Formats: sequence, structure tokens, C-alpha cells
Amino acid sequence: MTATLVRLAFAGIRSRALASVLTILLSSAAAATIVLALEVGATARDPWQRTFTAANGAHVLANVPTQADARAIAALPGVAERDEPVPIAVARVARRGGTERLLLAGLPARINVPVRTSGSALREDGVVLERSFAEALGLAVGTPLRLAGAGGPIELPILGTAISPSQPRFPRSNTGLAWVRRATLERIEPDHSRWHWTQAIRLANAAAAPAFAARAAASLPAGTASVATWEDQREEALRDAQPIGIILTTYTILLLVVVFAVVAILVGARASAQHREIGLLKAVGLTPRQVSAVFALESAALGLISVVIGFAIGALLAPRLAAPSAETLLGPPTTAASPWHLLLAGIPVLLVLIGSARSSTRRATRYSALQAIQAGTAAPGPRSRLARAVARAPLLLALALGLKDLLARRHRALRLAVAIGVTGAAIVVALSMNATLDAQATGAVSDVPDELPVLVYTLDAVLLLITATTLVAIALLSVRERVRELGVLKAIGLTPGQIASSLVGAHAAVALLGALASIPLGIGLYVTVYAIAGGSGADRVIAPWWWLALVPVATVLIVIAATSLPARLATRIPTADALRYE
Amino acid sequence: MTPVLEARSLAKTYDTGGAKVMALRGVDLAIARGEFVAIMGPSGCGKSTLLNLLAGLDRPTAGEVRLDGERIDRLSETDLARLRRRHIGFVFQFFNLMPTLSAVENVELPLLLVGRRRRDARRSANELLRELGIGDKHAAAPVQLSGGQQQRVALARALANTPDIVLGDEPTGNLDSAASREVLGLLRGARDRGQTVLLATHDARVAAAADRVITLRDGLVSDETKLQAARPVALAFERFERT
Amino acid sequence: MREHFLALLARERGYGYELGQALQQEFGELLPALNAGQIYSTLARLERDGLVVGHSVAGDSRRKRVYELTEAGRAALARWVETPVPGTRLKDEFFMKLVVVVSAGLAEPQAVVERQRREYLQSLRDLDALLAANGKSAAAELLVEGAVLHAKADLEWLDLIEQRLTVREEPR
Repeated sequence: MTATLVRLAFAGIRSRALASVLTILLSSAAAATIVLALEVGATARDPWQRTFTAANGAHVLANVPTQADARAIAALPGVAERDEPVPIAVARVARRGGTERLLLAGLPARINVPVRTSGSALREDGVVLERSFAEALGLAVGTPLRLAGAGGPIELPILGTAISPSQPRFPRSNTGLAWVRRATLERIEPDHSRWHWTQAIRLANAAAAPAFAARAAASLPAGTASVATWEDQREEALRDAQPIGIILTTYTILLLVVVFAVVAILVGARASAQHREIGLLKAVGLTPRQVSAVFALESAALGLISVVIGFAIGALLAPRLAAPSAETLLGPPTTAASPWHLLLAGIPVLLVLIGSARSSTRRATRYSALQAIQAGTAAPGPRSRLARAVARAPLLLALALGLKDLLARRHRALRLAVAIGVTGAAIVVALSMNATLDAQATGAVSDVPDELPVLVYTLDAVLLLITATTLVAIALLSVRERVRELGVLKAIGLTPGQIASSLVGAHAAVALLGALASIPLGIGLYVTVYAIAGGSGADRVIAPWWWLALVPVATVLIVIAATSLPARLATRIPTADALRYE
Repeated sequence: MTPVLEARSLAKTYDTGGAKVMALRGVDLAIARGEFVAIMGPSGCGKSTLLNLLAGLDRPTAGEVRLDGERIDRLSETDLARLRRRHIGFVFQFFNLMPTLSAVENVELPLLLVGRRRRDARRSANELLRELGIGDKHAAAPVQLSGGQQQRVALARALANTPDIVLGDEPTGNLDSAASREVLGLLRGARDRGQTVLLATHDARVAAAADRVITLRDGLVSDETKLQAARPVALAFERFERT
Repeated sequence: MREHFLALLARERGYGYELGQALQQEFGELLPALNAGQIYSTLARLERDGLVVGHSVAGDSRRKRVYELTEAGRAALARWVETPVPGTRLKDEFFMKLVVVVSAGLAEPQAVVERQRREYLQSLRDLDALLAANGKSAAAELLVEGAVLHAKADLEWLDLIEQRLTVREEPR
């Protein structure tokens, strides 16, 4: 029996190529975003390790107020290699629009040494900037750095840039870092009492770092020191990709919702169109559950293909996506793909597909075999209250007819509205992100990494493309289902123009409702995501009303464009043939 | 008098993936106003095709179709649709009611199309349904009605705009004999009111309801018969053995 | 008519005029009234064949005899009841006319067929009008419906004849 079910499932896929392709497209996108979300952080693991090794990284790094504290930590048992305490002073960098705080570390150091990435080595009278800080402020090697020191303004030539495994990307790690020689540090901040110190420790056994760090922290007065293990440092570096991870997770959810809605529509339409075939299957002996299983199997098969495709896309794109956040690290990000991710991506996608297929075939398989065979195609459901309300409203005749037909399948109309609403919400998020970025003071360094808006726009474009394609497919489907009816309407006297406008108008009306709902949805989504990403409410800006108003307008225009081709096709069918259509 | 509907050398060839089928091979036909004409013939003889061409639902491969003397086979789809609204009512074998509309909504559709006000159209539609004996079913969905009731709704829809011509393609094909008689009676009623009725049928009994019967065979007119008013029949056994 | 009389006598004996009345009651208008001569001549023949036997009743008129079935009569009746009416009817007035007229060259077969078609169609119309009229017995209605179906079958036969005619003509 299972073999038969599987065979039926594959026959089903072949016969509805367009719908199958669309399903695969959507599900692959969802799977890809899941994989990206899972991997984008992990791709920085190897580069960080390389950086750590090159820098002779510190297994334990302690930030303490006095040199004595530093030496006390260095004297704790278990230390394999210890460095001299490195002094840190705070200076201010003058730039347009204000000043920027900068931490200066006084070299030399033997552990946690900055890894030079450009320019020349540190000399007596120069400064080496941390790479991401230099890029963020647009400071080039060879130009002078203007500092406001305790004793007045100081200019230092920028000799080069370097990276450090303990320093995450600026500006997420608020204060930037630069290295100078000790003598230079004295010049900038002569008051030693205003220095604080870092003590770098290497242990014989790296795994002992947490225990050592705990002891070190305990040995000092509470709140005066911060101690980080090498694992803490790595986590900080990997966490740089966190905003991207949040966005990807959000879009995964959005995509899965759209997948559910669209697949439900496609499968539901299939089940209706094959009403008679289903009846015949049941007459042969398949139970309703088995019939439902055929559809579910189909969706599952498509899901498996999609997950593999999505996994491949995600694995390929993850390093590229994480590249900017790996700025602080040595070497390119590597693929972190693991079979575990395949499973994690596959489960939600398959669940959504199977669940969607089953929910939409439940009604279709409940008809008795005889009813199905006699009826041919499934009649639309009982007229909803909404349909009756539409009947009373004084709408244009063509529009009213189209709406009544669309609402007769109210599940489909609802799912279409949901898909459009979700897509619109994603656009609202992008618009609000844009507005928030615009509102930031010019010249001030943005807390939002550059690649984030690009990612959001790209994902929005993908979602938009998919939804538009879905619209065309669903409109084509509607036309195919209504061929006979359209023929009768033409026979009664509806002009081709009226028929086209009934189709287009109905879809546009439903889309408008979805788009209007998408505005509050999108705003809520943006607020939530922003909060999760840790942004402060004060900086958050929602897109202005005239941008938001564009969303429904643009939606209607896009829907009109997407459905006009199927509508044209609908008018082209010769009436006589349409009337004979079964 | 100009015939209300006319066909001149009407021909229609279908190209079904390689094989050409000549459904009509040159049919000449003239129907006068107020006539009740039946087109009879076995299935495949071309009668549905002829009806579709006369209603402007299809375009001929050759020949002309004239409605009240004006050629309609060259009109645009839009113009044909507008023409059909006012002048032609069509009844199908399988009723072809809009499943998502109630009975009265189906009937008022042509009325709304010609621009009648909603309330006015609704009133006329209900009246029409009452005349046809199904006034109480005005709110029912087609799927809740019997075959005979559905066909009466379809007939009401076809008659809604009091069209000059009522066309029927096997209008009683899906009905039992009682419902068939009713529908034929209603069609005769339309003829009595001055409308022209043209039916395509393979059922001789239906054809006999018409005043003129045209027989089609293989896409050509093969016979034409005018029928008279019913003669009295001696209701008695014939050929009785007198022993 | 012979067997019908036998059937009417099956349950009880009866007078000649009673039999006539019974038939009238069963068939009403469908049967033209039988006159006394026809009734009694049929009964006489049945008696001669030994299927019924008549007894004179002590009465005045010579004609008032009571008739009843004999054994042979009952047997004949039983056979009649069980034997179906012959189904194959290979005799048709129109067909014989068509063959003769065509072979004698008196008319084109097409024309003959067309004239007959009109007659059948007209009959259908007449019969339908009859059905539409009220006040008939159920038996009468069934009879008319039967005639309608026969007429439709005849029309189909005409179509077939016409088709074969054209086939035969085409190879020219």
C-alpha cells in the first residue's frame, strides 16, 4: 500500500509542475534562511582561532585598576606564561560632529599581541589602530590621528592597522582600540592614576581557563575587575553576527508562514480539481486518511528536495554573509556546514509542508466517493457571511462577481491575504530600518553594521519576488478552475474587459486588505526585532506615514500587474470551448 | 420581413491537434421573428456548433451570421457580449448556473448587466421566478435545487431581459419527462409572447414542439419540415383483431 | 378478442351483455363499443371450439345465455397468460411502401423518407397535445406515451434508413 501511495504522490508532482516548482522555490528559501541563521555565527570560528594563535592569545585576560592587581593575578598558581601588565589609557579622537572615545594600549606585549594587518610596525611616535575602528571612522594609514590628550591636542601618524582576538568589531564594542608605545602613552596621559591595566595569562591547560578566571575574579574586590577567558573572547567575536542571526531567524518565520499559506492554497486547489480522481481512489479502496497521506507525501517529497537545495544555498552563502563581521579576524570565514544543520533546517520545513497539505485536504477528502465522482469538481464552500455582505454592497458588477467567487473559497482568500500581509510587513520593517538609519546623526558612527540593511533588502526582494510569482500562479489556477463559469458569463453578456477586471479587481481587493493589515504587523515586528537586538527605544524610528501609505498602494499595483496576464488569458479562451470544459 | 436570425453558407472547421474536423460544411438558415425552430440531428452533426455560431459564442471559419440583417460574425468580443445581453438568451443542457450565487442572483445578472438598478433588477428577477413557479426558491443555491428547478432558474435568467431570441442547447437533456414538458411549455410561452425560439436537440419529441424542424446531418441541412397545429387523435386501439 | 373474453369469464360466469359492459369499463374510450352481434358471434365461436359452454337460463329471450369456462378453456387461458405477446415485428407499412415505391421508380427514396418524417413529427406533436389535455384514465396516458416512444423509434429508424441511402449513393 505504501508503494502505491508513493507512486501516486510522484504522479501528482509530475502533473502539476508549476505548483511543484513554486513550492520548491518557497521552501528552499525558507530552508536556506534557517541554515544561514544557524551557520552565520559559526563561520567565524576558524578565523578567530587563527587570529588567536597568531596573536599568542591570552587564555585569561583580566582588566584591573592597578598594576599591583595585575601582578597579583599573574602570581596565581597555574600560570604557564605571563606577560607584563599592559597599561590602558582613555583618549578622545577629534572628528566631525564631536569626539570619539579611544582606548590606547601601551605596548610592548608578549601575550595577546596585536596582529598587524596593514601598514608598518609600531614605532616610537606612531599609533596602530584596530582595523574595524579605522574603517568605521574612515582613518587611513599615513594620515595623522588627532587626539585630545590630558596635556592638550596631540597628533600621531597612523602607522598601520591591526586586529586582536580580544577586541570585537567597532562600534559594537563601543570604545575603539589603538596601540602606542609606552612612552607615547605617557605623553598622552601622564597621570598614571588614570591608567588601568590588563593582565594577559597563558595556561598550561586551556580548559582550566574558567576555573582560573573565577579565582582571579574572586581574589579582587568585587566590581573592580573584569576577567575574560579565551572562550569568552571567542564568543564575543562570534556574537558579532548576532544582528544578522536575528534578522535571519525573523525572516525564516515569515517565510515559513508564507510557505504554509501558499502550499495550502496550491494543495487545496489541486484537491478540488482532482475531486473526481479522489472519489475514484476512494471507490477503489483508499481511506480518506490514505488519500490525505498521498498529498502529504507529495509535499514531503517536495520538501526534501527543497531542504537539500536550501542547505546548499545556505552553506555557500553563510561565509559570504559573515565576511563583514569577520573583519576583526584573520583570514576568510570558513563554511561551518554540518549535517546537524540539515536536520534542523529540514524539520520545520517538512512539518510546515505536511501540516499545510493535510489541513487543506481535510475538507476535500471528507466527501463520499460517490458524491465526488458525480460532482466532478468540488463545489466551493457554503457562502460565507462576508460573501453575502459583498452581495449587498453596491460594488461594480464585475468586481462584485469576482469577489464573490474569490470569497466562496474563503480559506484561499484568507491565505492569500496572509501571504501578502506577511510580505508587506517585511517591507514595512525594511522601511522602518531605513528611517532609523536616516535619523541617526550624520557623522556619528552607526551601531548597526553596514551589511544588515543590505541583508534585509535582499531578503525582502526575495520574499517579494516569491509572493508575486505566487500571485500569478494562484491567479492562473483560479482561471483554470473557472473556465466553464467564465464561458457562461461571456454567454450571458459580460465583456472580456469585465471578466478581466473581475479577476484582477477581486485579487487586488483581497491584497489591499492584506496590505493594510501588514502595516501594524510590520510595525510590531520591527519593534520586537529591534528590542531583541538590544537597540534602545529612543533611537528607534518607525517609517513615516507617507512611506507606509506606499505599501498598500504598491501592493495593489503589483497585484494588478501580476494578475493581468492570467486575466488576459481568461478572456482569450473561446466561449464555445469554455462551455464544453469539464 | 428581415429574418431575425440568418446564416449564409456557414462553415466551421475545428483543428484538434492535427486532425481537422468540419463541424459545419455550409449551412443556410433563415429564422423569422416569432418562429419556434428546432434543429435536430444525431450527436456530432453540428447542431451545437451551429447554435454557438448563431449566438456569437464562436466565430465561423466561413460564411455569415446576421442578426436582424446586421452581420455579427465580425464583431469584437466586447460588442458581441453587449449584443447578447439584450438580444439573446441562452439555455444550456447542464444549466450552467453560477454556483456561488443564489437563484435570484443568477437571474438578476443579465438585468444588472444592462444597467438596471439593483432593487429594480431584484424585483424583476423575483417576479420572473414566480412566473416560472419557483418563486419560493429565490434564495436557494443551485446545488440545493433539483434539475428541473435549476433549468427553470436558467430559463428565467435567459428570459430576464426579454431577449428577441431564446436559444437552447438540449435544454431538456438532463431532465425527466415531467420537467421536460414544463420547460418546453415555458419555451412555447415565450414564443407566444413574440420571442423567437431556437432549440438544438437530438430528442424528436422536443423537436416536435417546434413549428419548424431542421435536420442536420454531417454538418449540412438534410431536411426541413414545417409542422401544423396538433391534429385530433382518435384515442382507440388500432389494428384490433376482429374475430 | 377471444382470449379477452376467456379472461373475463375466469372468475365467474357471465352473460354476453355483461362481458361487453366489463370491456367497456376496462378500456373506456379506447375501445369502440362492441355491438351485440360481435359479442355473441365471438362467444358462439368459443363455444364451438369447446372453450366455453353456455347454459340457457330460464328466461324469455333467446339470447340470455350464461357462459362459463370449460377445462379446455381454462387451459387455453393459462397458456395465453403465460405466453408473451410476440416481440419481433418484422412487418411495417411504411417500409414495404418505401421498398416498392423506390424499386418501381415512382419517387426518390429521400422524398418518401422526408414525407414520412414529417408525419411522424406531426404525430408526436399530436400525441403530446393529447397528453396535455386533461381527463384521461391512467391506461390511456400510458397508451399515448407508448405511441410517442414508438414514433420516436420510427424516427430513429428513418434516420438510419436515410444514412444507409446516402452511404449507398456516395461511391458514385
